[in-house]
Amino acid sequence: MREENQNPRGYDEDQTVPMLLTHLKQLRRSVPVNYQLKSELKKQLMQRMRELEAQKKKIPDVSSSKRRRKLIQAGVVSLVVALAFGSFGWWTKDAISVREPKLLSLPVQSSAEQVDMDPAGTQIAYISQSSVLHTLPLNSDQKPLSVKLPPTEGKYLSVSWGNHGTQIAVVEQQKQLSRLWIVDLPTTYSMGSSRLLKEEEGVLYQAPSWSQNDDSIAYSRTKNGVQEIWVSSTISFQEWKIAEGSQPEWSPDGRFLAFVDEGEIRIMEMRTGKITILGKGEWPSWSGDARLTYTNSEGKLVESMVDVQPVATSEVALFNRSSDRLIRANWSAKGKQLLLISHEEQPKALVISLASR
Amino acid sequence: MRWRWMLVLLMVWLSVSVQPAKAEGNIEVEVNVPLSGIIKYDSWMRLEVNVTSKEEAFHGFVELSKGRVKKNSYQPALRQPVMIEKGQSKKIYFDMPVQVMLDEWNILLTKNGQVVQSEKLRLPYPKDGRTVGVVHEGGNAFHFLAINQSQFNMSRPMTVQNLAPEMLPDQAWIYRNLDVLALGGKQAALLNDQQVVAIKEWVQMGGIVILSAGPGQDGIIQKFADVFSVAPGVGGTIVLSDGLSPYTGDKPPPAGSIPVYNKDVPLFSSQKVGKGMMLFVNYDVTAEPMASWQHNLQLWQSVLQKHGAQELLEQNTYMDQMTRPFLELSRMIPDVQTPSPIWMVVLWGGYVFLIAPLTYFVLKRVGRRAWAWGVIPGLAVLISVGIFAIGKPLVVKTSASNAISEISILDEHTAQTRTAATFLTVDQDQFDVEVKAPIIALPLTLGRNDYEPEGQAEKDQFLAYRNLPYLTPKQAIGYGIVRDFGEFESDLKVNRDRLQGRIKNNTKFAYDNTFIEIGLQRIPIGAMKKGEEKQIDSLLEPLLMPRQEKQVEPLTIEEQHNRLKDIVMAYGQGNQVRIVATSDEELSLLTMREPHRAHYWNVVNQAVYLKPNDQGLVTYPYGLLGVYINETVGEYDSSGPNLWQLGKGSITFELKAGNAQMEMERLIVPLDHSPFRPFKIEYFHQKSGRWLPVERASRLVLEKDLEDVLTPQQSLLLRFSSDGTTRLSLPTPFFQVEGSERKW
Repeated sequence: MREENQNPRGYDEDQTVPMLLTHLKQLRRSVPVNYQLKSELKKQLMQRMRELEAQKKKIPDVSSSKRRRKLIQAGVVSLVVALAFGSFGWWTKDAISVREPKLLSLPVQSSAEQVDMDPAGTQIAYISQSSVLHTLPLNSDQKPLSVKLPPTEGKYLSVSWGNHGTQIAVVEQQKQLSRLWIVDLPTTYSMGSSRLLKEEEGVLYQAPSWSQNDDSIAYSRTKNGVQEIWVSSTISFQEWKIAEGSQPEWSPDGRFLAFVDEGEIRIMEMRTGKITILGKGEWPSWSGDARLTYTNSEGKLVESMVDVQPVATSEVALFNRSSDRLIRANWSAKGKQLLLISHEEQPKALVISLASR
Repeated sequence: MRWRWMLVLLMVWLSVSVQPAKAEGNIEVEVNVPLSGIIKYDSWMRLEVNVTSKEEAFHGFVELSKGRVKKNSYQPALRQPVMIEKGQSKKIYFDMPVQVMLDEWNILLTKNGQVVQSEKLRLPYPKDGRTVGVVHEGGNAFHFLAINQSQFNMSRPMTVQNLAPEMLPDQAWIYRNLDVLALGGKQAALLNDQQVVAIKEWVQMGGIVILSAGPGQDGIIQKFADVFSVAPGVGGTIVLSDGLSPYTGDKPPPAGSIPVYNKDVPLFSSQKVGKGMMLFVNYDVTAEPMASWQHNLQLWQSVLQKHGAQELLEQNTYMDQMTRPFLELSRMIPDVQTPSPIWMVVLWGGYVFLIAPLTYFVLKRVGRRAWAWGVIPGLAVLISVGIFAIGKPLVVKTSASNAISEISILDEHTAQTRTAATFLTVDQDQFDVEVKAPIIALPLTLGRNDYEPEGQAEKDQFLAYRNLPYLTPKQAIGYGIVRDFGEFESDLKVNRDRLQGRIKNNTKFAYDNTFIEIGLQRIPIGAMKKGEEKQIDSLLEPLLMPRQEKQVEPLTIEEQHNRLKDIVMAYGQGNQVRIVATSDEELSLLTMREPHRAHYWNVVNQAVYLKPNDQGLVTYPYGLLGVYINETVGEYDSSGPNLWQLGKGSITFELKAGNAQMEMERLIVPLDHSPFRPFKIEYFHQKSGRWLPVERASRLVLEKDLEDVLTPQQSLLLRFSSDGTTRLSLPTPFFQVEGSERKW
């Protein structure tokens, strides 16, 4: 290692040490060695070196403390920003805002049953021209479909999407004859087809709803003005009555059936048959296994937690929603997307919008 | 100098390559397949390899290998040790499912890992349709069973093949390559006792034997007297018009009479034995005027139909003999937990991206950067050892095996079994598996795409697995008979829409889950202890399709496990009522010969014959009997299990009413249900040859005119037409049959 590298920076600039060394050299040459003098000089030399060393250490200490201060400041700022974002996220986590205010507009004479969203929340199905079933994708991954329903003299009224997303139940009304069809949507491997599940004279079928595994469909059946809820198996020829009422809706886990009777929302626990009344309203829809929403008479969306006693009910806030009267709100399977069907006054129409959490 | 080296190398190479050529001339290999080479795709077969050493002794292996064209290159192979002295011959047997044997195989003789001789294996292609083996000296005996190809069994023609008595094997399972065995005359009397025992066992497993004997032809009849007794010494004649009247319909019988073995027995009589049956023909089929009667075809169709042979033939549905669901399920050894791939990625990534850079950084800081060359690889070794030491007991603690078996009870003493087992050793690279006689077994290894036969079999007694890579599971499948397993005692009948009666567990096992399978429905019974009896009273559901949960999301391991269990339980399902039960009791068919933890899961099933109800009626409920597509016109497609979509065109279904084991009295098709209403429906009236319409929204009930409507195969043809522009779906038109108990 070279000598200059051993010397601390600034050493060369101070001439005291070289001068002392030179003087010492000269002294050694000219006079006999004075050991006392030598030790003193050495002491002075060491003292000076220590001073310089301390001076050198002082400079970097200042710069590192500055850096630390900056770091702390940045950390605090980041923490504040993160906290702000976190609290905003937490505050809005359950908030539902309308993403597509006017996804679709149907003639005013259309019914709220003519539209439904698939359980994945990726597309909606609706009936137009009375015998064509359309699908409307909500993202770019899918293509819209138009399925011709069996050509009869009847009118197709209600639509309900199966839980596996490949089948849709539609209700057809032809004078006194009512039919419940299952439509298999066309896929890459199949052209799609329609199966007549149930046909009956002198009744009106409405509001079909698929059970958890798509192995049965509940629907309301009106005969002589009496509304009843019936279930038809999709895998056998069995059918049975469940209760009096209309607008049946299975809970995602199949534990409850929500329905409307005498203007009240009721839920039936399927295992025990126990019925609980939730409140006045219509169009129940499940946003979770035990979370049910329905629209009340004021056109507001109300949510009930059905697994707590007494049942907790609260109004659901919908951000960015227009002032149109809400008729029906339908959830996707995981309760993320919400299809809103509202009644628009000017111009008169049925407006379909999409909200999400 | 270089050319000298080349010469030396050439000499060495020649000396090596000449050696096998020398051996090739020494050994003769001959291949034979029993039953004159008759094989069926869904059976097991035996390949006999006869090795003869002419000039010097041969101590090595006979191998069955795919490929291995290059000498000494490794290929999975089945091998058996062989020790033959000079001038001696030895027979080696390879037993395996025919579907496996259909691949391209080579027979190799190897010694010390070197291929001594190689020969390509050429086998006859399996027979299509049904095969009737005939043992009779008359060249044309039973030929009438072959001429009815187009009329009988639709697309499954029957062929007849003459067999010499010595071609018949002593093992019952080999007979499964036949559908019917017809025995008669002096030739049949030459069958030895082992052959007769094997034939009887095969009948129990579902085989059909036709015995023909004229006056005094006692030889073959008395060999089968214990299962089907016909008194000897009462020969005489029977007037043909009387004897044939139940079978010939409007065909005039030949004039005169025919000499018979027993004048007190009808011309045709039958006996149900286990899952199969024996049909006795009370005259020599080569005797005139019957031998050359022009209506023999119709006569034999009618005989086979009326005595239930046709139904048995159709019940023997195709089954994958590789039992892949069994193998898949057996690979899920309960105690063995394969580490999750995520953990492997985390460990690997953790080392590469975290530990190694951190180590380097620390070493640099302390001024020991050069140490990284030693410390980082050292850490890698340390971590690997640590993961191995901690992870290994987490994956598997001890050697283990998992056997999945199906036991089909034929009677109290006999049950047929299929088994698949997976073996895993922890600290060894080889092990043996004992095969419990009379099971036959095939060792397997999981190849790139499928299971490959690989391993060593010795004298049908054990399978040997050698040179195994660390913690590599090995597998085997087995097939055969289990003795004295016991049976379920049952008394079940259908009353209206309910299944009623009782079942009692008289088998060797206790069961954790039992159910009755009737058509598409499973009626749960629950756990059953040994000797326990349960009363049954269940509603029969008119199911269109099996009640199973559709799975959209990826299955978890547990769900996959349950799904495979369900497939194994449904294995061999047919048009019959079955009791199905599951048990994890020990059933040692393939046993590892070393200390290990053994797991078992057994599915026991037994066919149940429905008894008459209080009104004396036997009912085959909706969905139990088979319905097949007979003809399609125009646009049609399948849109799910038992669902068919129809555009402009028609689908004709064949409703196999004849599969009901009874004297049919009434047939009901519930065409009044909504799904059938959009279609124009007609049924075929056999007697008039016309299609008759079925009124919309009404049931089809056939009673008095049943015989006129059904085809010669006792089927109802039902046609659904649509002229619509949109495709419509309809379910399979399942049906119900009622009648009285069949008199055998």
